[in-house]
Amino acid sequence: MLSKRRNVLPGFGLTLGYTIAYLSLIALIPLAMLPLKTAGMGWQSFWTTVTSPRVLAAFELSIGASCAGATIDAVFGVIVAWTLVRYRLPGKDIIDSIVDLPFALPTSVAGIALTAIYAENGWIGRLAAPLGIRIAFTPLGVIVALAFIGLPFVVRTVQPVLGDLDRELEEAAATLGASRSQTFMRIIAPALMPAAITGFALAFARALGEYGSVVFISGNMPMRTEVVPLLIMTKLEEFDYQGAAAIAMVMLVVSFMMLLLVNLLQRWSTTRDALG
Amino acid sequence: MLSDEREIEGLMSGEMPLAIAATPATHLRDTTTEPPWVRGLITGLALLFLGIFLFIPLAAVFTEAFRQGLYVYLAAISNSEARSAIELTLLTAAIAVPLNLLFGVMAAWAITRFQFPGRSLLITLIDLPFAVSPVISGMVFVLLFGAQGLAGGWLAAHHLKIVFAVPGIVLATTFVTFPFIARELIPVMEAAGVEQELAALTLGANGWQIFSESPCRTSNGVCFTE
Repeated sequence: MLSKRRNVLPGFGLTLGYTIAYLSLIALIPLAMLPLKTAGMGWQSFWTTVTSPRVLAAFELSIGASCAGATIDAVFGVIVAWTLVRYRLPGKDIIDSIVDLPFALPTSVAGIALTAIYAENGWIGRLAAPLGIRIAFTPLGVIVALAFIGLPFVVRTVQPVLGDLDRELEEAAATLGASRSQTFMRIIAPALMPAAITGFALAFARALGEYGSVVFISGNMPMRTEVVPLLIMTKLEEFDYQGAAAIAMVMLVVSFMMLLLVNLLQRWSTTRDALG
Repeated sequence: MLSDEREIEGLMSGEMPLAIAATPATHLRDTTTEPPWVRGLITGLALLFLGIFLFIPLAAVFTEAFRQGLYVYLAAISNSEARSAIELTLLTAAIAVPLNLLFGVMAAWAITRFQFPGRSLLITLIDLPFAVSPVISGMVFVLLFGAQGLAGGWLAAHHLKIVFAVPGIVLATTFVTFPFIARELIPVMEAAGVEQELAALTLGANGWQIFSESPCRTSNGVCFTE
């Protein structure tokens, strides 16, 4: 069946050739500059660069805040998706389209808006300040910004899966005497899990590389609120191209691994679906 | 037991205007939804989260833009600097989007209609710009075309400028946005299946006819500009 399909439909050579050529030209050749540049500096100085205290602190903040932001997104993204799919709500269509906005909004605009709100004299910052909580210009602000930009990823991966979920399975569970919470834990949650994890990984990967919005809200204090992309920018502005390339190389490897994880998860969930 | 639940449900739905009365006319308990208070709680949580994290920031963007009145806003976007920035953004999108559209359609056709070794690696590679930090994607172009870059000397000798000029902006935008269309098209074409194309083939259609009539044309790309 498969081998027939391969031969029957036309255009394989043309489309694959074009895809690979375009991909190489636009993405692979430029990205190959990173290992090339890093290879030029030697292992010793590469290691010294990426393990300097300032770089390590930036990695700690970037990974920690991305993880926290993506976790917030995973939890509330599922809740939002659940509400949008399962419940009737006035203005649902508007809410549904607004969820995408962090995606389409220039990140610097998002950053300025978030800073304005969460600063000590902002709409929300004013409420938090008497409690001794400062949000803008602290790691907390970084988490807020990263949660903001990552939300669409979780909602948009969970929503279609939730919509396709077979209601009959839930009815069957109910007829077998399962309570609603049992049905959720045993039937719905396992089906949603791959999508939720995929959304988490996408939000995490996006958060790790986020620059535009974080720059405004973090305050950019070295060792305290400096994220990795900003550190790369700083190195570039100092014309330390090799140092920047070394840090970027580490980031690239992390991103690639996150993507691989996502694709493995997706393959795992589709094969499981096929079996079930 | 059952009557208890019905009573509670009746009480709660009165207090929770957001939760829908899931009980149809028959007054049977719907087994595939939650008790009203749970529904209210989940809806409330969703709205609270969206409010704090999404609606308030977006409201701030708009109040900030229009704070000094519509006139000042119009003046701000119509001064020559802002206008040329907007023009450049639109130009960039006008070049990058058709390029990526062509790529997306080509890639989706190759990936969904054929099985070949390295297929999942190709999908991962298409996704890569998605996960790479925009800072890194900008930087690699500087490394490639900048004054110190690999092709920098050759470009300077021919008086070509890519980085810190319009071609650089177009390149970087193309790089950052190219997974989007392919990513949207692949699942759609996967789901549409090949039956229609095979049927067209048996009816004697040629490659281009199959393609232009195939269901994938219904999908349209969304432009993300940054």
